[in-house]
Amino acid sequence: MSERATPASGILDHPLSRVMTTERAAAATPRLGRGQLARLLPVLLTGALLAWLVLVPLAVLVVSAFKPTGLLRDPGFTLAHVIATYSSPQFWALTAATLQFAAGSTALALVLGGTLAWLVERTDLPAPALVRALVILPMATPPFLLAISWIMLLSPRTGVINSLLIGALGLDGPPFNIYSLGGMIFVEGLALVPSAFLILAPVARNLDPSLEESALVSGAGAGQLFFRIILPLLLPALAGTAIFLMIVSFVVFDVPGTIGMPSRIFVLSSQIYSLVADSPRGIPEYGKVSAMALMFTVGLLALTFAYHRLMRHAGRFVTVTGKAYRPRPFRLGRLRFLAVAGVVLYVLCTVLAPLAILVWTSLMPFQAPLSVAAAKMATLANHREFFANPFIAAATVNSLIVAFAASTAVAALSLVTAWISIKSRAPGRRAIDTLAFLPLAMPGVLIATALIYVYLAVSVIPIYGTIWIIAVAYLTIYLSFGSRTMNGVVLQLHPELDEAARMSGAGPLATVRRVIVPLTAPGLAAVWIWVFAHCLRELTAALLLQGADNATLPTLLYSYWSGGETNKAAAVGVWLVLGLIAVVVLWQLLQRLVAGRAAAAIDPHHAVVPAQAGTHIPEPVVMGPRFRGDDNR
Amino acid sequence: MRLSPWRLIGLVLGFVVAGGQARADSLAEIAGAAAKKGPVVWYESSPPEQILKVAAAFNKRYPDIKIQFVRNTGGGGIAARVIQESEAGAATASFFIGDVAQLIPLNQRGLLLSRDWKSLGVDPALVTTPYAVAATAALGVLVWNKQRVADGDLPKTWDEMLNERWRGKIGQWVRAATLGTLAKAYGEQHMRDYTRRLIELRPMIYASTFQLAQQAAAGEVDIGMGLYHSAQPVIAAGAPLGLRFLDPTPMNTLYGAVVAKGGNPEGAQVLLAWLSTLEGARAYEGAIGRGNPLIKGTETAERVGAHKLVEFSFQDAATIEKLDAELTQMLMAAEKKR
Repeated sequence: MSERATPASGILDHPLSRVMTTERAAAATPRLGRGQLARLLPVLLTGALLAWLVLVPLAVLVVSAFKPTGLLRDPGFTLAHVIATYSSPQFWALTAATLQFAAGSTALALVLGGTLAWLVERTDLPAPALVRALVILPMATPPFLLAISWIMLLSPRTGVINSLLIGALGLDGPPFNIYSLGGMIFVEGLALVPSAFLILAPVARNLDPSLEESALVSGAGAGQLFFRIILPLLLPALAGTAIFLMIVSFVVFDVPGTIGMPSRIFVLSSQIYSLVADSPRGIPEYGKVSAMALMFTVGLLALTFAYHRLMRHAGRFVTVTGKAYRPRPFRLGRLRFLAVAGVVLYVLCTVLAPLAILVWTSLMPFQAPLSVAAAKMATLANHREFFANPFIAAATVNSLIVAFAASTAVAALSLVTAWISIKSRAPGRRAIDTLAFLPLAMPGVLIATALIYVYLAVSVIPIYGTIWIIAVAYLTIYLSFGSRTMNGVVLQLHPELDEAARMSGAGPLATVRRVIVPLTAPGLAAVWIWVFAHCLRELTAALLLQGADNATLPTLLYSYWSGGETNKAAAVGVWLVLGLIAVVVLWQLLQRLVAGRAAAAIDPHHAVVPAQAGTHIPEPVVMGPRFRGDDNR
Repeated sequence: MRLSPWRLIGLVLGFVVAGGQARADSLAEIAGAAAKKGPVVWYESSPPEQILKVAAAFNKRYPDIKIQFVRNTGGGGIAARVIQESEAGAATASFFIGDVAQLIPLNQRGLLLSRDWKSLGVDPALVTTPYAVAATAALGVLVWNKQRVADGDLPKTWDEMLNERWRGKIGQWVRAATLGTLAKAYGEQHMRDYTRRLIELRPMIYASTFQLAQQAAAGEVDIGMGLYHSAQPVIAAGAPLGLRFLDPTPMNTLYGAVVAKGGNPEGAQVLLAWLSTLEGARAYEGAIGRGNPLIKGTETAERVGAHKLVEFSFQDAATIEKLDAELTQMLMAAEKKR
């Protein structure tokens, strides 16, 4: 048996699973079929599908950068867009601003998410399960809505918080200005905290507590413990998480587009959107956009692979072994109240305050600052319209269908890619893994632009202008999330189980149906719900792919907002957030429901599995949900 | 074969008459042909709820011609979409409303239907080119918050908007279309300088004039260069928003055009001809809030009254497009000190 682990290659391939599978991974080569072709067929089919989903749009963008108008079917080629873009000082200023924004947002999310992860997993913070749910809850607020809400709270002249502070403290001017780089970083950082938390929580949970205990016994203070023990152990995971968050903030449009524009702070993604949607030249400047996207994609791919590599080696630093353990929680002492206050402040900033201001705005006939006089104008008209307007009803149905289709497809394809890249020895498995990861580096706006070309050209797949093209876009966009998560799940499955099934006479399909799917069900459900929730809130791609009858709730919300109907937008936003909160709550309930099944299903008789980890389904990789019934503490 | 002059004249006359007859089909005949086809697919930036009202009014007159609406939020992607769809042989719009910048590339690619619009009863004042008819217009106006600015303090000219008192309190649409149009009256260099001075006042830049109107109503900015139609819903909601036409009033005409490769170009012609009537213009204005100042009897025309409208001619489209792009670029240039 080889000592070499199967390439883990996950964003968050769970460190525990890596240790568990180190020795058995090499043996994990299922016989997918009797003949060579049968063995290769799934790989070939999956590879072809991934190439179609990922490489074709990428190729479209590359070619578009060299077309005079950016339109693919137009004649001729040119280097003009590339030269103009990269010789423009403005482009590099934009790049610098984007880096500032991404780095700032990442740092904030990392500090908040990391601290919350540590508090929940390794300290005696009260009600950790509740806190965990509350930390994840902001996932239910689309970043676009979060941005709108914070504009209403912190805009310099009418922001509720600024007005209250000016009145209470007698200040000359507003203490905060949301229309600033700091404001953008603040909101984007808040939006990323659940991601950072969900990535870092399992890492914090699975660190070997004996090292901390040894340090404490040896007389180390809290500072020494943190800087000499905890931080070095966490560093690879922190660095990997930082790169992941950087990639996400580099491509995000919602927050920079909403908060940055009024104060003329542009980043690459908002500039790209303006060139596509608001070009004064009559036709979107696809050539320029694609030229910008070249550097975007190359740079982000470099980050992606750095991330990939870091997380692959992160396992070496993680000290979880097969021994059962129950780490002693770090006693917060008097800091406990401070920690609780911090959590409350976080929930206030990410859920309660934004939701409250949305509710207020939704009750107003026009956007009015918070006041007693304005309260007299309160009306439910916008909410009545939400339930009576047939377009809103249609958009709700579209959103649900798209989210259902995309999340199901992502979950299924992620399982297949994970199985091939982790469990098989088929040639090309690494390429499949890489292809499934690539879309992380492609901004949604660019994927959508490319898909317009692809599905206009391929009329045999008549999905252009329908909800299905949006579903395909989401499949591409969220595949990287799903595949990383399922990699972690598949890594933990012992090959004996499916081998036993086959030896008992089960065919490949029966093995999949009766062994693989049940074993991976919790992970699949996690991916499904995560993607479902994110599809319900995605804006950029849906906006660009808008057709006759495929409006979704976020596009409707955006059209109300950009059309000056802020109050209608707020009403849609309130119901969207409430719906998404229901999804998140459902996810938490499901987590508890399946935990018991997971405990029985996952590797029940393998001696190396720690007692607590027996019930452990790997944390979904990025923002992944938890499917554990117990706590490791 | 040699042709005698008389024979040549006869041939030319015969050709003209035959062509004229073909194009001079009556509106009723075209409507009859349109009714046998599928829906008129209409691309525009307005919300579907509003277009539905226009379609309902149209169907009172032409009940057999169906309309299907596809929204393009912001409107910037309409031309590209028609080009991409037409070139791919996919179903595309039969009708759209857009600005000159969108019409020209479409016409250059032979995608727009040209015809004698006057023969369909369209007022010649609305026809500047055979491939489009003036359907509506965006009119630049001063908007302000009535609670924050007293009437006596209001700017009376566009230049007075650059007064230092409005520093940090002035709003501006990210598209410089209105600023660019004012160059017709003041000259291009003047508007470049104007934009530079405006930027020095640290204006709040908004993605749409609707947002600008909302933010002015909320008090986030005191004044702004808005558009007449986008201020209407805010005023109608009871917000403390004021609106005033300043002289000269910049106008950006939006044109209706028929896409030759659309599914029902006949229906699109009927729709466009109907929109150019007082009935159609009023229906559109009532639903969208954006009227046609060139059609007497519309509310917009009455509101504009004696104000002097300025606009670049269709032939100057390249100039305005270039200037618009330049000024927009200035507005979008990254702010360093925030």
